[in-house]
Amino acid sequence: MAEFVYHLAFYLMAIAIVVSALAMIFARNVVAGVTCLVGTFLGVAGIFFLLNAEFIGVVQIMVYAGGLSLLIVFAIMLTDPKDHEIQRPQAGNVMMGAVVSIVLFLMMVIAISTAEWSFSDAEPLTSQPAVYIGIQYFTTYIVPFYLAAIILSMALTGAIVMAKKDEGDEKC
Amino acid sequence: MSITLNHFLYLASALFCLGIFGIIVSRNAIKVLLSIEVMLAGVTVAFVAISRYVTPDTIEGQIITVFILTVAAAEAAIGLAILLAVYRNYQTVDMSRFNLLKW
Repeated sequence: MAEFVYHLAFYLMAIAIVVSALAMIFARNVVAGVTCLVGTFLGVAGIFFLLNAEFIGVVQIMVYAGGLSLLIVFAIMLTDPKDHEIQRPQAGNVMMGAVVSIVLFLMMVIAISTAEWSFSDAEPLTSQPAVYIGIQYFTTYIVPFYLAAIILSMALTGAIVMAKKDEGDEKC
Repeated sequence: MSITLNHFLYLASALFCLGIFGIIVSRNAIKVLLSIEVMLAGVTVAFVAISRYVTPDTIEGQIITVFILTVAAAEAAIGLAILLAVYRNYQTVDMSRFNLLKW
């Protein structure tokens, strides 16, 4: 019974993810596209919950479904609304994109189905995974952690400088 | 037939390819950024799935996923700032109309 619920949850969320990603691509209005993208992110967070990654799932909901979509909506509001009511993708582009992505997907499926994974039989880490992740960041992964902090502060400062209105008349 | 690692990896590659499809198809620059986010979501699904099945005791994939999240947030902020700068100079966000770099 529990296995059946697990399967049902996986397939429902997989269908929801793929359908809302496709809806994002084919949506005529960009704000509706962002809403569909929030659906994709929530489905991905559900997949993380199925994979025993509760911490990453909650972070996914907070950062992507909450923060990032709001940032994108602000960018849409700061640009011209006329531009966002564009026509649907053109048929030629759709054909080309479908060929490229389906060929890539088939290559990935062949590679995955023939791969030999070294599965581990160890017990999953269930007691306080967030505490474990935090300790790992400040011991083993301290250098990447600092690099991530530097990248984030540099990127946000650069974004403010670029998006700021110019003082003089000259264009940036 | 139970769900194995391969199912999650098929889902992850489907998401990645949907992102590439969106990048090729869309003409609105904001939609291209959204498609890049879909591609990064596919990559994170693959990382978390492999950390669940290959290293369940030392969840390294989840730790790496947070770094991907950081880079994705930085990329989105920079991309949107570039978009606003382009919009100020060209008054459009249509990808086919700011062709300054086209040869």
